Parts: sequence; structure tokens; C-alpha cells
Amino acid sequence: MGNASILELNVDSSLEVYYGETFGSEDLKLLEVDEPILQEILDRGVVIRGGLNDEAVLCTSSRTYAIKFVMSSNTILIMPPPSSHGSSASGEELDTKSETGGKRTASAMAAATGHLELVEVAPNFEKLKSLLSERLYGEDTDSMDVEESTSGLYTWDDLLEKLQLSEKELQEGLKSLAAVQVGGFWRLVDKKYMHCVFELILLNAMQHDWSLQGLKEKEVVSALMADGYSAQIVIHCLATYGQRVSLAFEAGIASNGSYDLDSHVWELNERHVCLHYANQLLSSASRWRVDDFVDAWQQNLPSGVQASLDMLKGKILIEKLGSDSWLYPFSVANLPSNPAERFAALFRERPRWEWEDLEPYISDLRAPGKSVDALLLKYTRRTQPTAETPPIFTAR
Amino acid sequence: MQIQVRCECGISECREWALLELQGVLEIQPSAQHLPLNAFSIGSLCRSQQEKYYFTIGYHELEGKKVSLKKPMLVLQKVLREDPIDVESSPVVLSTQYPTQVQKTSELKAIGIIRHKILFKTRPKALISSSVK
Repeated sequence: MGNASILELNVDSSLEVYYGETFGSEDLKLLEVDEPILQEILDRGVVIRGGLNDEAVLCTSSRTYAIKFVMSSNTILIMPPPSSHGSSASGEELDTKSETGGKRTASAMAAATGHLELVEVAPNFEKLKSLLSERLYGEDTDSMDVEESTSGLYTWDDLLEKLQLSEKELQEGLKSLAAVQVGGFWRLVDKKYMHCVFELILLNAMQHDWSLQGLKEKEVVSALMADGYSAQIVIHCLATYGQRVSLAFEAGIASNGSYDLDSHVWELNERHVCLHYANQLLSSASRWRVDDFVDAWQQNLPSGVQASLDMLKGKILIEKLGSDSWLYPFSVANLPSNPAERFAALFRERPRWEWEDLEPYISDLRAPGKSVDALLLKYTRRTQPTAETPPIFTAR
Repeated sequence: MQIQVRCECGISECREWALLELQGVLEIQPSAQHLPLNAFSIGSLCRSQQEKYYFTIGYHELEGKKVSLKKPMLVLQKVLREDPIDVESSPVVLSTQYPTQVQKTSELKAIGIIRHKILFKTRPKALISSSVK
């Protein structure tokens, strides 16, 4: 081990550079980082994730980076600091003419052929979706008391082990998929089943004259449990299509006047209620004259709920044929998440898009370091015939 | 698969390392190839003025300077850890005279931070003895 640092070499002095004792047998790598990643590695560490066939990624607690090796044609000697402070040359002013022994030395621990660099990547949720789709939670699951095998079921730790996502991104992904944790396993609920439970909640609300802004969890759960639905799924449905409201004082008081702390109250999100009925109409007929649709839609909605076509942005497209306007389903959820593929799919559907129509279909795109404008610049051609007409986007 | 990357030095104690970077390849003379590597020095490094460094390797002299890296680098060392497998999680345990079962995991340990290097990128000067008899 050397006794001096090459960085602390004073002017007009020298040291001898040696091969270190373990030179050639050390497995050292150089990793280029920025200050935030450096701090996180020093504080609590980060994780490299990947399967045998994946390109390895480095995950901090919130982001994911592809790891690339940058080769160098230079000889790069890795120089550790002196082994112990006591014997370092700092403080001593030995120059090359000194007669007292103790020549300054530094040793190279290894030679690097390049370094690793990190490139931020967008989180990939496709694999998460496919893992959770292996065993969808559906009607059959709810009626079973205990599920026998756990194959195809994944806990939070299992998911981190198998996916290339940071913890924060995994949380985001689970939330955007409306996944629910049941018995320690993260589950995707079958869409049809979710709609079914939601429909039942709405029917019960109408029957019992419950307010959609103040649904009492206890009442909803017991009504649906009577029909064989598990409490967990009912609550998950309430959480997916609405939110808990702060405990209303009246709701908290039970019939005998005592304060009921267990009484959670839920408010359903108006847009989700409207979407639920819109989806029902769209599955019964895929093309609607807009006026007919709006009438049927409003008619089906519970009283007090107001629908508007704006709620369907990103789910339907409207086209004019003659004097009529027609709408049909076209959902952003069914489109690819990769920007290049997304734009290709959009331009296959329509060669020309106005910004207002295009925006809901690209607002969820993620490309690290690229803004929406940058994506538009890369994948579209923008034309604006006159200053008054809105700009039109076509394929590049 | 997951590989942990962490530093066990303590936040203020992860020491600063350095790089010596030069163009070309270091070669051991045939006459010395049978000797262990750490028996000899690579060369002499000296700092002449505030910003100038000279590295003399064999009969070549390289001129270089200290450069700050645009982004810091970490020196990572691959470590193979052997942890005893958590026996409690297994309902049936085999009791034998052989040593405890271990689980081998790979880890990357950050052992140093690099913020500067001494870079030699000019053409080497050949030092030839001036005395010719």
C-alpha cells in the first residue's frame, strides 16, 4: 500500500507509483454518478435489478437508470489514498533532495478499461401489468374462502425482485393499475368484476336513497356482503372510484346517540360515476350519434349527477359525417406507452389531429428529459394554415 | 435478481481516491515478466509547477495536469457475501455435522469517491541519454 496521495503532491516534489499488491486480481468498477445518486448510495444504498435476460438497471428509491459501459482506450490507474493517515506524506515537506529515508510511494490498485454511466429511463409498467394479470381477482376469487396455491401471486418484495422499477415507481404503477393488496399479495381486479361491484353500489345507493357524496362504509359493505362480495373488494371499489371524506359529525353518531368512530364515509367521484354509465352505453353499441348518446347517458345517471362530454376525453373520438356528429370508443389505456409506438397508433387512427383532441392521448407519455413539446417536435409535423385556425398535427 | 450497492464507510468517511490516466498501454519488459507485478514501480510522478505534472515511465516522460471530473465517480468492489439461510422460515430442518447452509449473494461495495484525475494526453517525450561515447 502506498504512503502518499497523488492528489496531495506538493510543487517540486515527486513520488514513485507502484503496482499494488492485488493488482490484476481485483474486480473494481468505476461508476459515474451525480451528487443526488452519490448521496443516496452513501446514505442508504441503491439496488441493481434485472433478470438474466435483462439489461441491468440501477434503482434509487425513486428513479430507474440504465447502466451503460463506456470503454476508454486509455490506461486508467485507480489510486487509493494512503493506507493510514499516520504514514501519509501530508504535512511533511520532503522534497526530492531530502536525505531522510521514507520515499513517497503511491500504489495503483487496478487498471480500468472504462467506466459505467447511468442514463435515466422511463419506468416500464408492462411487466407489472402482465405479472398481476396472471391471476386476476374476480368473481371466483371472492367466493372462495382461502386460495390454495400461491403460484402467480406476488408480494411487494416479489415484485421488486422481478421488476426493474424503483420503489416509488412501483407504488405509482400499482396505484395507476388500481391494484389492491389482499392477504399480503398485490392483485389486479378483473375489470368486469369491478364494474359489477360498482354497479351494485350505485343500485343500492338508489334503492336506499343514500347520498353519493356521503356513503357510509358500514352500510355499503354489509349490503354487498349479503350478496357474497368480500368487504375488501367493496372498500377497494369505493377507494378506486371515490375518496374518504373527513368524518361527518352526523355520520359519526349512531342511532343511540353515541359517537361511532368506525364510521368511514366515502364520496364517489362524479366523473367515475358518469364514466361507468358511459361505458355501459358504449358496450351496448360502439357508435352513437352524439345527441342520442348524451340523452341516454343523462337519463341513466343517478339524480344530481351531471355528465359532460369533456369527461370522455381520452376515451372516445368524435367525427363529423355530414351534419351529424358520431362518437366511438378509443381509449388511451389501450394504446402503447412507448412514445414512438403511441404516435404511430394515433396517426393510424387519424392522419390529422387538432391539439384539443390530441392532448388527452399524449399527456400521460413519459420520456425522461423530454417535455411534451419535445415529443411533439420529434414525432409530429405541425401546420397552422392561418393564425385564427387551430394548429394541426400530422405524422413526421 | 437484486444486487445491493452501498457504502459501509459512513457518510463523512468515504475517502477520496484518484485516477492516473494516460494514453497507451503499459507493458512489462520480457526480461521482467517472470517477476510478480508489485515487485516494481510503474514510474515516477512529479509535480513541477502548480499545474504541471510529469510522469516518467521507462524512458518516456509524459506531461499532464490535474483535472476535476465533471461528475464524481465511485469505486465499486464486487463482494460475495455468505449469509446463513434463515432456518426459522423452513418447517423442516436437517441436522448434520456439516457447516450451516449459506446463501451466496453478490454485492457492490462503494470503497472510494473520485473527483479528480491526473490526465496525461500529450505525446510522450523520449528521454535519451545525452552522453554518447
